[in-house]
This record gives sequence, structure tokens and C-alpha cells, in this order.
Amino acid sequence: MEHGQTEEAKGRAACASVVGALRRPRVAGQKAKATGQKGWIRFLFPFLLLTFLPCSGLAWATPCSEQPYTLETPEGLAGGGNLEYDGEVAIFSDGACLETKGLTLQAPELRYDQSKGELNAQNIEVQTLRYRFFAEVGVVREKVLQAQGIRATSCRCGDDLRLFSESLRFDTQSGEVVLEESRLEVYRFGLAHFQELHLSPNQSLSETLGLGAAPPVRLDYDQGWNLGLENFPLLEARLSPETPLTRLTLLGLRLGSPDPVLRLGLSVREKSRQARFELDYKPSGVASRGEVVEGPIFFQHDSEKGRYAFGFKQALTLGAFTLTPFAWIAQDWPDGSPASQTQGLAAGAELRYRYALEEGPWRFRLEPFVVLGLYDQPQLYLAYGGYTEAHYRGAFDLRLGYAWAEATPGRFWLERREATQKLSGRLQYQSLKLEAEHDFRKAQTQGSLRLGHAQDFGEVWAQFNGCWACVGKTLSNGRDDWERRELVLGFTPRPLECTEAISLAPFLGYDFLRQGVSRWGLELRYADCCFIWRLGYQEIRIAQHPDETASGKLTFGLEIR
Amino acid sequence: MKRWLVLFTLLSLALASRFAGFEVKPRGNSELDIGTGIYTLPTGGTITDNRSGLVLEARYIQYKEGEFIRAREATLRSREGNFNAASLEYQQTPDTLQMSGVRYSSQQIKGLSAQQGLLLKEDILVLKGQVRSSDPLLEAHTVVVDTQRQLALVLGSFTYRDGATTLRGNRPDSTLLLNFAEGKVRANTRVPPELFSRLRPYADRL
Repeated sequence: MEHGQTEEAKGRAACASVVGALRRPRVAGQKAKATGQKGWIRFLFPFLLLTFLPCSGLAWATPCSEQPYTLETPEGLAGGGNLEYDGEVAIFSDGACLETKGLTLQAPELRYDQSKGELNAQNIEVQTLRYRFFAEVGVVREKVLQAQGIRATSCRCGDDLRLFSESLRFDTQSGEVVLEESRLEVYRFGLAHFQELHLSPNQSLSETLGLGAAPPVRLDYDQGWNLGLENFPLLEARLSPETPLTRLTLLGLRLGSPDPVLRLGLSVREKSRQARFELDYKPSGVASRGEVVEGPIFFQHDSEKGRYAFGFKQALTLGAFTLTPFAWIAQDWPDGSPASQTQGLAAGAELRYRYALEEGPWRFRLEPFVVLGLYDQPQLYLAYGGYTEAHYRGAFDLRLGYAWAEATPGRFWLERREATQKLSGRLQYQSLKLEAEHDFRKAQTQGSLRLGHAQDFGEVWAQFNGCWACVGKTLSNGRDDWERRELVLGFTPRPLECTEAISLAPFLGYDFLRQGVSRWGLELRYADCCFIWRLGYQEIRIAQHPDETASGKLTFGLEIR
Repeated sequence: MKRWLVLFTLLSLALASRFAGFEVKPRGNSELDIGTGIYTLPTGGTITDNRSGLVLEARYIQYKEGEFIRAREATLRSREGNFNAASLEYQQTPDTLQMSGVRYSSQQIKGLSAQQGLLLKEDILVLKGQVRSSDPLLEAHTVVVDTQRQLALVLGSFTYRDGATTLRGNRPDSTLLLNFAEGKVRANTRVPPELFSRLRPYADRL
């Protein structure tokens, strides 16, 4: 009998069994069949898991400080089920681990050389909040882990999405990681190669790869099928984070409808330079839009709106003042039709002043501006206005703002400022949220009131949307506004944390003015080890806004966990 | 961690000396119970073992030659360091020294204390109950020292700090075997079964 090595093994086994239950609903399903339970119970099983079982961490994620034996070293807290020390080298085994501010490391055996201040290990598994790393061999010295033979994944289990790398440098305090010569694989399909990839604990893998919040693959249906790649990052061409990220759009819109569109697009962006170009092929013709920015010089165009401009714009900041001189040669269709086409030169400047005051929970902001422009015609452009806001953040959150602007007619969209007089307010107290806006120029008011009831499994909410004295008022896009009174009820489930879990997010809207169901929708989310898959259907039955049309929309989404 | 070596070897040497033949100097009266042969020094005194150089000073002493010495608020001086004990009892047969409220200090070891201490004739020292030393920092529940084989068995949760390194046993059933042979400290939490079954029972003698 040997002592001091059994409790950890028991703890890990218990933890593994809990997580195993969460990860293997099929096994649970087979058991249900064997015991004669109804099929619908099996169907509901994932929902029950989602609703009532809190997710545990990874199976081996027993805190190092709870290991039977620990050694506080300058490199972090080392621990294990057993310890052997020969006067110079301490060897932890049976669940050896190292815990620092930025990582938790596990290995079959961990050797700490006291004289060298160095920790060595093989077959390492490192856990951070966002990633798991596996390394063939590694050494921790001066709070840096250097390891070779790396496999990294953001997946909660398995590694269908993974990065292979020759070596890794890991700051054990900050959690910043640099992978050298790495390649990205999804379902064993190689997607990209990076000379040097920086993984930050404050950034998700999506953000690091430049995928952003919107999924780059689009598959949905509204007036027809919308299918293709939208702003898809071409990672293969990106050797390091400093290399500009190129994004490709290859999208079919409204496929199957009488007015399908094939959109081709390419965009490149870095610090002070960017280029974006989109081409739409339609039965009615070809349309294009794009922008090229190189420091203060830019070129913009939108063939559908008849807008073309080549110009210069540079912001100069002096204290709270910002002066932006500009000059451009441009063409515009001010009312949207070729008949109103105007061309010429414009030059001028915008002066903006920013004043901000913060006192306890109060914040005050004032931002007046004036724009003065000259054309190659005897015409002067003058616009002035500003925005002021008071914000209280305490037991509740209250924001009141007033925006105003007056302007003479402008020739091009670039210098034009819309005449505005709007008072807006927002109040948030716990799960109550009230937003309202009054437009003095149109003498109309619109607002929304949202009430939520948060539970462990999600939030049940109700939102009332209204627009008063809106009939016959023209929106900024030229459409007529409508009167609205709509109540929407919905449920937003807690974000999926478990693996192989499902959630449903339904909503239902009712139009009090037109006496009918205005909208309804349902989104099914499924989380596997690496991704969250979304499938949703939304139908607008009674349009509530001039931008809406009564139609159904099927959406499909995918995001990295 | 080399001070583990100092800590337990010095402690053992000091206690290994026995009061086989000694000289008594009462501080006041010395009372003899003729019926039992027991001497009582109610105001204390000094007992010196000239052969080993061990000196016992206490506020209260009771002894019977060839059988026992009992003392309260006692100080035991040796060449290696000084022990203080709230109470002390030396039994010549079997050759054991039992103390409570033990404190030990020397040039190398500062502020070692334990609720109870027991030195057995087979050169086994047991320290039990809040075993502590301030420099090097040691906190343990029970320590069994085999001075002949230069082994120490630490039982229960423990903390040992030396410089920037702190070693902890976090469980009530933690074990740590220290081996001081060859002038080097070796520590292992895996205790060979035969050693464990030999040393562990000594902890229950207190």
C-alpha cells in the first residue's frame, strides 16, 4: 500500500463521469430506450440538460491548489498526486500540474529544478479560458512556457477545429501566446498557414482570425435563397497578423426569385489603407460600389445611386477641436434619379468641438459643429448643429440627448448634413428598458418599452414598439412612415455553455392597430464541441416599418465557440 | 530544503542523551517521601547529567532515582540548543522522555514548538500537535523521527517554506518521508509500506 495518491484519481474520475454524461446524450438515449421510456423524453433530454444542469469545466480541470501536494515556485504553483525530491529536483507525478495567472498545465510528470528555476514536462496539456494546447515537450523558465510539437484548439472537447504548430511561446502571467509556423484545420481540412499567430486571452479565435460577429458563410431564404460567402477572410494568403486581411464575397441573393443577384466582392484593410469593391449582376444590369482609401486620399462610388467622388479629407486635432479640411470632385443624384445629376468641385472644412465632463455618476457631453463648403459654382454650403447628452449611471441608467442640425442645400452626399431636431432618452433599470425619441421637425414620437424576467435557463421578455403621429411622415430613405403599436413576446435562452446542448429562442408579435399577429420566429441553436449551429425561421405577417415586407426568412448560422 | 536535515538531526541528538546518573541542586527545600523514595523540589532546582552535559532547570521537580524525573515549567539545556516544556516526564524504564508544550530553539532552528513530544529508547522522536518552527517555516500535525536511520515521517497536512519555495501537503492523510542519509535531504510522498507500518504506530503513542 502506498499513501497520498488515491484521492486525486477518485476526484478526476467523478468529474469525468459528470462531463461524460453531458457529452454523450446518445448513450443516455440508449439507456432510456432500454428502460422503456417514451421517445419524447429522449427528445427532451438535451433541453433538460440545458435547463437544469450547470455545465462543469473540463474533466481534468481540478484546481492545482487542490492537489494532494503542492510546491509554490517562482514559476507558479506546481502540484501533483505524489512528490519526489532529491535535494535539487522535485518531481511531481500522478496528475502533475502547474497553475499560473494565465494557464493551467497538466502532464504525467513535472520536474522542477530548484537551482535552475526551471520546470520541464512532456506530453503537456495546457488549459486557458479560451484554448487547450497539447505539446510534446515544454519548459517553463522566467514565467514563459516554451514548447514544441503543438496542437491547439478552442473546442470544448475533441479538436475538429485545431491549429498545428512547430513551437509555442506562452507568457504564463498574461496568457499571451505566439504560435510559430502554424496551420489551421477544420474537420482535418487545411484552411490557412501562419508564420506567426498571436492568440490573446482577451480575443476569441473568431476575432483573432478576423471572422467578426457575422458568419462569413451565408445561407438563408427570404424573397429567394441567399447563398454564398460574405466577407469571407482569405486566411491562406495571410502569413502573419500584420499582413492585411483580404475578404471575399461571392454571394447569390434572391435566387429563385424574378430578381436574382450575383454579388462579387473583395476587400482589403490595414491601418490607414483600405480597398473595397462589390459588383452586382442583375437581370436589369450591372451595379457596382466601392471605396479606396489611402491616408487622406479616397475614391468612392456607387453606380446605383449615381455617386462618384475622388477627394481628400484629413482630420487635424488640436485639444478639444477637430478641424477637417476637405476637397473633392464628385457626381451625385441628390434625389436618387439621374435627372437630378450634379457634378463639380467642392472644398471646405468642418470644425467640431468636443466637451466632456464627468462628475460621480454623471456624464455630460457637448459636441457642436459647423461645416463650410465652397463649390465651383456661386453657391455656399453652410451646416451647423450639434449633439448634447447627459448620462447618469447609478442605481439606474438614464440617458437624455438632443441632436440638432440646420443646413443649406448641399450638392454632394459627402458634405451634406441632414436637418435634425431630435430629443431622445433611454432609461434602464434592472430588466426594464425604455427608449423614446421625439422628432420636432416631423412632430412624431416613437419608442419602445422592454420588460425582461431573467431565470437560470434564460430570459422571458416582452417589448412594446410604438410610433405615434407617424402617418404620412417621410423617412430619411424617402419612404412614408407608418403608425405602429406592436407587442412582441419572446424567450432568450441562456448562452450555450455545455457541449451537445440545444436551445430554442421563440418570439411572437401582435399588431394592436391592425388586430393580428405581426411576426413570429423560432431559432434553434445546437452547440457541439467546437461550433454553435443556428437554424432559424422568422416570418413577418404584418409589416411594422416601411423597410419591412411581409415575408418569411430562413436563416442558417455557424459560429466558433 | 537542506535545513530539514538540520532541524531533525539536531533535535534528535539533543534528546538522545539520557539522565543515567545525575546531580541535583534544589533551589529551596527538598522533600523526601520515605515511604515511596520520591524526592520533591516544590520550588524547583537544577538537575545536571555531568556525562552528557545535559542540564534540566525547572520550577517544580519530582524524581525517584533509577525510575523517573518529573518537572514543570522546565528548561533542558544541551550543547545543541535549549528545550522548554510546560511539563516533562523522564522514565528510566522504559527509557522514554515525554513532554508537553515543547519549545526548542538553537542557532539554526528558531521557535520550534509542538503540543507534545516523546523520545523513545529506540531513538524514535515523536512530535505531535501543531508542530511548528518559524525559521525555517514548518507546520505539521505529526512528525515521527527515526534518528538511527535518519528518517522522518510527516503525517497529516503540512507546510514547509524555505526561501522562495513552499511545499504543502494539503490533505489530512498526507504523508511525506524525509531521508537525511548521506548529508542530503530526500523527500518522497510515496512511503514504502514496510516503513509506514513501522513508523506510523509511534504517532499513536502520544
